[in-house]
Amino acid sequence: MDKESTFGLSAVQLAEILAIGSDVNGTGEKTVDRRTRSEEIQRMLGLKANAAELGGDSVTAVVGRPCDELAGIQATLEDLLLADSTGLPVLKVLKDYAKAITRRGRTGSRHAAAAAIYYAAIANALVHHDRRISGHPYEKLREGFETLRRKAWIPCELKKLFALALEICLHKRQGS
Amino acid sequence: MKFRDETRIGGPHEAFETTRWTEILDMRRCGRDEKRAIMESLLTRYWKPVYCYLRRKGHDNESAKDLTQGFFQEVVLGRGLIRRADPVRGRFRTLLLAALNRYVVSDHRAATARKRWPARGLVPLEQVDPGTVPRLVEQIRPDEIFDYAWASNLLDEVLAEVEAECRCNNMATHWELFAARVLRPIIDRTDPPPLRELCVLHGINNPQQISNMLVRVKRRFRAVLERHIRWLVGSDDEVPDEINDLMKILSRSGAR
Repeated sequence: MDKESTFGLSAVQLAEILAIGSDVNGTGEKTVDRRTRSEEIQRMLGLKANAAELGGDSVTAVVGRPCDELAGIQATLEDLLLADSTGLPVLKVLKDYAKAITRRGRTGSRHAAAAAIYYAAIANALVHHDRRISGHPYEKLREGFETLRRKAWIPCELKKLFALALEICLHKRQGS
Repeated sequence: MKFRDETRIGGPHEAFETTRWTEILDMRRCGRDEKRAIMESLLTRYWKPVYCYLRRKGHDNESAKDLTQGFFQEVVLGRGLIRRADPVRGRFRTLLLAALNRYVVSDHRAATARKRWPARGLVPLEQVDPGTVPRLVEQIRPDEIFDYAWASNLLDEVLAEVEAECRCNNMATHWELFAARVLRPIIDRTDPPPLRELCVLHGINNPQQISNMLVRVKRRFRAVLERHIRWLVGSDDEVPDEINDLMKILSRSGAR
């Protein structure tokens, strides 16, 4: 088998390789899995949207493109996901970021928290902009919002957002 | 999946990798063999970043090779760049790049460079074939190509070392799983194969076992990476920052 080299990969790919193992502590256990889902979502929601963080999980590194939409923003993910003033471009970036995180691992607290953030970005766009920023049909979105709204580890403010988005999806379905 | 490590030279190199930046500086205390090993390791570690940087600056292959040779011969070795380096002033590769920029514009190099070179050159560039620069790399800005090439070299070293360790320690399956589940998806931009599928392929009982095997290799990768980085910084505390800074640089340069 020919010897491979990382020379020729994109710079973002090199960054992703550099990030390997950044969530593995000295005991060999994944620190993410040891955290509860509640702790993990609180941690992720507390991240500054424009900061490079934690082993290559920066929004730019994960999304793989410049995120000018986040330039100058000092708010946390939680602030952005709950605010009615958050613009659609920002919500789309956060949606893409969360989706990319979920693709890195099929299970675990990080996957669950990222999925919640994914749906939260979509919910905000529905509730505050009356726009669907996902390709999923309203029925599928409704199911997602319904499921997450019932989870004990979802913060109250997000549950409220999901409930509002759920109503919108029901109305959209009835009207379509 | 095997990674080529163009920087391996063997011998005292192993001890060199664990030597700290501050110890490297005081080469006066090193024995002849150790000093030679340190210089050879620096050359093989940095020739590609230097060469790529010169190519992106517009020099053709032959010109870039000449300048690379001249730089290492005259500046790194001849003017004692390493002896004069100080970790307080910043990263070694930053120092190297600054010195390279000064060298390229220097008035003296054209007149005196070749006369003092060893017959075969200090860096055997013909053996490592620097002629082809991948198209993707050509799109990276000149001021970012140095860090890119340096990071690529570093990762090739680390991956080669981790693979070798796995194969030597009866963990070949661990490595194959890591390559399939972690590396290949990044390199090929594909979804990782399902754990159940890997279970069948490798005759493993359950997905959790594979997860545990992957964690072992990831932990080893991280440890080897941090050891390589530690050589370049002044203390253990700086290692995570160095890695994060490098990831930021790569993320910025790749996000275009």
